[in-house]
Amino acid sequence: MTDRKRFAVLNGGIRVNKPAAADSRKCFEVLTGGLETTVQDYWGREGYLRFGVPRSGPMDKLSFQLGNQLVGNDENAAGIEIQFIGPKLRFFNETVIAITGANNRPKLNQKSIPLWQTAVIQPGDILSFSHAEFGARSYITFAGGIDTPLVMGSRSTFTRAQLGGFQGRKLMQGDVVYTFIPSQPMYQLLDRIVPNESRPEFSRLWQVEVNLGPHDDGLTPDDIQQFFTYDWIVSSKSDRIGYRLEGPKFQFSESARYQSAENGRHPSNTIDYGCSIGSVLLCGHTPTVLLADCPSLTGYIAPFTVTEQSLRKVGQARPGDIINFKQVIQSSASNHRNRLHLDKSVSRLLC
Amino acid sequence: MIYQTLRYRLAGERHLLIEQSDEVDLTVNFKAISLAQMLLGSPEMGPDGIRAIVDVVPSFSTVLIQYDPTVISIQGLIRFCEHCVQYLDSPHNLELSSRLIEIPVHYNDRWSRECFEQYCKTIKPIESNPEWVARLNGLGSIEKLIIYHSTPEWWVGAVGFLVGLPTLMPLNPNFRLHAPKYDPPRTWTPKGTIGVAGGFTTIYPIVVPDGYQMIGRTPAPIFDPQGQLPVFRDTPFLFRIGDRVKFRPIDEEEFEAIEREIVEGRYQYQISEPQTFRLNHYLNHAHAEIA
Repeated sequence: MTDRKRFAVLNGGIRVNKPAAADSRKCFEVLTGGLETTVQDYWGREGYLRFGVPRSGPMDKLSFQLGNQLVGNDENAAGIEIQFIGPKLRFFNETVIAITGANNRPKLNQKSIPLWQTAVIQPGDILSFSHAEFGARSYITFAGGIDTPLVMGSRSTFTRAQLGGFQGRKLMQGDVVYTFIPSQPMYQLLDRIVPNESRPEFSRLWQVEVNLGPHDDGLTPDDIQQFFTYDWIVSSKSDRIGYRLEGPKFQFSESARYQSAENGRHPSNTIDYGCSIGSVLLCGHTPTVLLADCPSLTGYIAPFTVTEQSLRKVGQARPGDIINFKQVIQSSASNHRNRLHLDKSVSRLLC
Repeated sequence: MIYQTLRYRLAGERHLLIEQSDEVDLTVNFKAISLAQMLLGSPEMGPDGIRAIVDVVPSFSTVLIQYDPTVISIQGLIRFCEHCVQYLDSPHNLELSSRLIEIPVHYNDRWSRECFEQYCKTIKPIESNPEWVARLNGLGSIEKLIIYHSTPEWWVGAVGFLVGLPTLMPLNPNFRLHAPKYDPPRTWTPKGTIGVAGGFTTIYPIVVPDGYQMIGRTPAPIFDPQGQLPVFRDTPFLFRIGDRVKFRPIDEEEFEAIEREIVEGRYQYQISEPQTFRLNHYLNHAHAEIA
């Protein structure tokens, strides 16, 4: 059984407190943890939704993967996700890192360093952050990638169930994090930069694409029209599990309003069903976009589903930001997995 | 109502939701589980084959398929589902492998009472959960509720929401316990709490916010990512969909004794070997009982 094999990794992995691998070494110590600083990897966890284990992984996969590419890592290398308030880290060894995502004004030894390009780190260097004006999440990627045990095939942290990442939790003061020794010599990673035109845009207004379904029949045509025209405001009750949006109420269709008792009392209720990342649930009248750490079952209808490409925009939206939804027509031709092909987007910095 | 033909609902670029009915009963759930097993176990399409089907989440009347659109088109996937469904047209011939798992429960426990009291103080005053559930279902007393809840075998009709959380319905529908959920929901529920609402029972694998009425607590973990107890060596989840659960009432003293055994890693779960559970055998038997 595949499961058996994977769980053997899980069980063997979690008991080890410190990575013992000969190909990894101490990278940094956490001086302050920040708000929610977690280890994540791309693509996250797959194949365990039927047990209630979500995908997890970076909320903004594009920024994360551009960072991995800058430091010459494989696409599955683990890095750090920062939310709003960044950590303060002290490094043990010479290495190369990159910071991508929301511009939270990183500083190396009190001196500003730019995002979207590699930075050389010396032993004793201290990395700190300020606040971002646009966007919610920033990423630090490290040459070689972070070394934590693989849990169900991934290093991503699912804090709610204390699963994966660094002991299943966000990083805290005193944690010592290891990275694998990079396969490329450091000099090959110097002065690498993501050109302006390849960087994702940041704003306070996000255009998010959705497909209709699975439960668009629960709304009236007017409801659907309203969903696509309204400026939805991101609520402060938003996190890696889901984003709540503030806006007008829905009428709900006849079939949703008159249904058998088992479906629940409110027209937004239905019999529990398997739901996926990107589902826009209607919890009562509140649209809630399910994100990286979302549940696998729900009792609320989902009239819309955010596309894989647009998930990063929701993940970067800050409370108070505005989201506009736009319908895309699903076609089998565009049904690629959205694996990122970025080889051409990273180039050498021209001096 | 069970639909004449299955409803296929598109759920984004990588998911398909198949819906059989707008009602819950054992037959529909049995069919959902069987279909999910066929899809996931397909040596060609499943994770062991070309990985067209990546994961499958069955629930009471639905099956969610996560597929890889670079491997199979949505049209191809629906055709494959139709092909599988033909074999399930006579659900009365269906059978599933099912284990009977005993869960010790301290009913009306002090931990869930503490959580309830905090809710009353900080959110709004509500009635004591076990007393209210007993009254709503015409059971008169907590003692009767305990007997009622620990008498039937409960069917694991869904696993998920969070890490291995089971949603259980009584195999004998006469034992359904009706109660509304908390409104607004609690911000936390103690790990191991036994919750009831809407005819279902659940067991909380970790501390979570939720709304089922709390009637007891089990000391036995149902999710253990560290694999400390022998039962979790191969998988961190205790329950598989299609298992059955029997609740055994215990007192606080036994609760604490079991907790100690768990800490010492020597607690033994009472789990039967997998048995073949035949739907038509069960339904005939149930009809005979009602007659």
